[in-house]
Amino acid sequence: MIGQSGSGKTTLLSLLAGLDLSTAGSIQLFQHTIDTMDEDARAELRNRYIGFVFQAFHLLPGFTAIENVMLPLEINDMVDAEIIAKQLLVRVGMGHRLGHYPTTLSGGEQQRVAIARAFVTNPPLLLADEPTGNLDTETGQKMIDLLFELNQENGTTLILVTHDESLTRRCDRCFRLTQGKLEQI
Amino acid sequence: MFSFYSRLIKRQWRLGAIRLFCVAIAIACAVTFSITLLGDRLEKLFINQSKEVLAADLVLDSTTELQTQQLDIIKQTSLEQVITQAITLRFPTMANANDSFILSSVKAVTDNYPLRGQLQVSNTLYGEAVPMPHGPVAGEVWVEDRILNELGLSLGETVTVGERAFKITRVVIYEPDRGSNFYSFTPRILMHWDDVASTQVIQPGSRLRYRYLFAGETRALEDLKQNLKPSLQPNQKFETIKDTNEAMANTLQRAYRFLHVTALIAILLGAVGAALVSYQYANEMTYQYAVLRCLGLRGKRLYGAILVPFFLFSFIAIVIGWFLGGITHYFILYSLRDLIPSSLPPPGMEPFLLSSITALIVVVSFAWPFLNNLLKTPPKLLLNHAEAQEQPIIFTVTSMAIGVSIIVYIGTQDVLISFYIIAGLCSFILMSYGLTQLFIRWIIKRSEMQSVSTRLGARMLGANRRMVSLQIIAIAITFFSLALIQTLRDDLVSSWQSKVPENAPNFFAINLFVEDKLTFLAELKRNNISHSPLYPIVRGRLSAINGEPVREYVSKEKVKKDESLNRDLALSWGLELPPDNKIISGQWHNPEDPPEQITVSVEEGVAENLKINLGDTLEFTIETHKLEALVTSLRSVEWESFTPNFYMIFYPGSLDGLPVTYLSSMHLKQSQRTLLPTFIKHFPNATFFDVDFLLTRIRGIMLQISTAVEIILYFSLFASLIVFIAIEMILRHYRSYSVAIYKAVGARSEFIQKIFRAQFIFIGLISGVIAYSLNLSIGFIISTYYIEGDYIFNIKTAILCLFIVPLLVLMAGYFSIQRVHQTPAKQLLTEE
Repeated sequence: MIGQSGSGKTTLLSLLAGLDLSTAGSIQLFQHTIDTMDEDARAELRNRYIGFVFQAFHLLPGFTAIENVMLPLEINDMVDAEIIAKQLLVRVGMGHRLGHYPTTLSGGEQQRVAIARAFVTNPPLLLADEPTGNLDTETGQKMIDLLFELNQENGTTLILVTHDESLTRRCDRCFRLTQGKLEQI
Repeated sequence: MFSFYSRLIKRQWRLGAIRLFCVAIAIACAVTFSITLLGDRLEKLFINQSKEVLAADLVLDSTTELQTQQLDIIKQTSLEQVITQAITLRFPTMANANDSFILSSVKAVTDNYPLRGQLQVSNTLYGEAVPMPHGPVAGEVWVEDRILNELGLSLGETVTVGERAFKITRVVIYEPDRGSNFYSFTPRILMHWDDVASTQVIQPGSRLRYRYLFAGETRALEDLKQNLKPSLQPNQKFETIKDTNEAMANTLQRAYRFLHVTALIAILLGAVGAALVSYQYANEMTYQYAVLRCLGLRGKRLYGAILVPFFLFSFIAIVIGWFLGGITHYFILYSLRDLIPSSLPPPGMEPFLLSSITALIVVVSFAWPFLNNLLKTPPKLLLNHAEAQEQPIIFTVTSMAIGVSIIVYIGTQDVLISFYIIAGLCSFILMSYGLTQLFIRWIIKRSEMQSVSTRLGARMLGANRRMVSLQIIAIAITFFSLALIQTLRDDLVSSWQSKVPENAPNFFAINLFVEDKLTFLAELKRNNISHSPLYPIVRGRLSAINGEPVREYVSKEKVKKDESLNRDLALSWGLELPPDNKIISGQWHNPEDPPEQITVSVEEGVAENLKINLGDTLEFTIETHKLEALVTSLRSVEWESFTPNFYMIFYPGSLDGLPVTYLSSMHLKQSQRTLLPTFIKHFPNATFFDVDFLLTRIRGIMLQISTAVEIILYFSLFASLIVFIAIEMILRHYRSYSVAIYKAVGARSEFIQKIFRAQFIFIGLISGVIAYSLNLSIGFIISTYYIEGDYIFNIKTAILCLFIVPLLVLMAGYFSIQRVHQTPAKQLLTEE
């Protein structure tokens, strides 16, 4: 999904994730009508079905890399949270920095941890909000590669919001959001 | 240039943090201002009350009338400045009626007497005391009950003093300037100054005691003192409160100290609040200054851009603080209206000065380190979202330490005490920081086995280790102080109550003869009256020290002239050390080892004043006998205890054959007071003193002190609330952020609340445990060395620290989470 600043990309994304509620119409997600669910129910839905990758990474400061990745599993009281989180961090190339805090990691490394956190619950839907926005081109490229690899491996639906039109070539379907209207390109 | 700053100030005022900063400084200032103002006025009030002990502001004591030259100086100084004066003259003489005689102490007073305080008199024997602002009119006398008893008189009858008969119109119960050493006094006859001549008692060689009483402005009295000083004769001296009434002086001094410590804690809490708000302010300003630097602001203008708004806001805050403090002060005065007279002495400049200085110290030493950090904010912060400059710990700590030192010194005015308090604070912070780290580590480790929310709560503590430590230290300091105030106040009150308990002796019986001893004890027992043992008393004078007559010894050794030299001393003996007495050097009388010569134990105050040491020989004159005694021990005595105390206690048998009487103290309940007349009739030779009035008065002062302390306690609570709010503000961003992330990864609200609850319980428990352990140790130090009371275990502080603190932290935290909890996760999408 591409579009100019202020076109409503972020709003659409937050509606899709049930972070925000629509003023008109309704959103169906995995046989659930988000609009009629209360906040806790929507949170549970997110935990089960949706993974997030943010532009600003949004790792919890003061939590180590592995603790950040474990978080979505721990919320579900998963017993082997640590093992799963560790496997995933190894997969994204962060196996050597499990105990590091976000402040000691580079932007690219933080985004790798964030991607691992997004995939850790094996969600059928992944929402990525300008995941390369805060990264240099080379690192950004690596991140996108990683995102698509994991997407392929897990068979996840990936909704990617970006400014980078070159990315559209790697996506199955591309939309442009203009003044609240979504057009396939 | 001006418009640059004015725009900057306007823009900054829009920030929430700067407004809160102003509130914090205003509160710090208001706290200091009202406390100092209250302290200043209460202190003046206490001083006034203690001036009662002199019945004046200044007293010139003399055994002769002042010389004409001296009277001229007084007259001259009184012309220039407002000084009121009164004179009293004391002399012993025999009074008689119905062919009976009694040795009495006449006190003749001028119209103005007393200049401070009031007499307490009664219109019937053993009647209720009523205050009286002046002495008797010419031709009348007021007498002590003993005169009436011993001469078999009642009110309205006449007593003869010298050549003159006087009508007795009232019973004197209390004279403000009588002093507390009551049992060596002969009974009082109070007459008018103009009647002295007509008694014809005063002859050359009479033992006279003139007291010139002055009242007025401190400066005027100081001038008077300076003007008179060159002409003072050896038999003339100025008297201060301390000389007059040691028991009262000790109490007041202790009370001042306590008030100061309490105020100090409140001020330091205010400072902590200001520091925390400044930290938050600096955080919020980081980006603004990074922008300014990015746009090329540097050097003086960069400093100016931080300093000018900062100090302008501080100045406004100080002025607001004065207003707030002043208003609060009047509220306090209103609530104390029954205790404090309506016309209080006017406030001095001190509150204004001290509150401004304190506020500025808080600004410079507590807030500036954080602001200073803004100068170092790298402009690149804007470009790559780097973290702001780390706060330089050493600089911040040093700056705060200097600030604390100055504030503490201003509060205590004593280098050593300041050192103790600061050393205590430093060890407090270091220890609590260390303990916090250990506790957090331990909690994280232990929580691995617990529920997810507990685990995550513990992990969030660790995640924000430094901030949480600061929070814990601040909460711990707050409640440690509150607990300390509680401990000290209870200590002060209970150490007082243990000295002047409810059943403190309120009656003294003296002059009991040997043959009355058994019947007296039997009577007390029959009427169920609690009493002290009977102490034997032989009246005598200290006449020589190491063979040298006292007068010569005094001038040669340049020792302080001690009151005990001017009158008969009550010499006692005994094998048992009286309660509250402590041997500070030498050996107490040992019955196993009877001495070969006469030995005596001396009270330490007299010993110190007269430079009497162990092994010295004292010579006493008892009627016509002379007796030498070896000093074998020095004793400390609790003069406040109102139990019989003695300067000299001999080994039993030393005073055999000399005229002895007995003394006892008793506690009479209100209902037992009616027994008194019959009691007195049974023992016509003995004399009874009523000291109830003095006790009530001292209790009244204690009540005032503890009320004042309580009010300052509320200030501390208020200051601690600011600390809490500031910490909440600082942590709010982190908390909202965590809530958003938890929500984004799918946590339910209830789950998030559980995490926070666990966190607050941990914070509260760690803070409480630290506060309590520190309270135990520092409370012990302060009450032992500073207030000089006995440390008493206090269950209230244990409950406060270990139960109430965690509960309050949980409640306050929970309250703050109510709003944080509503943080929408979608903010993560819009934040870059």
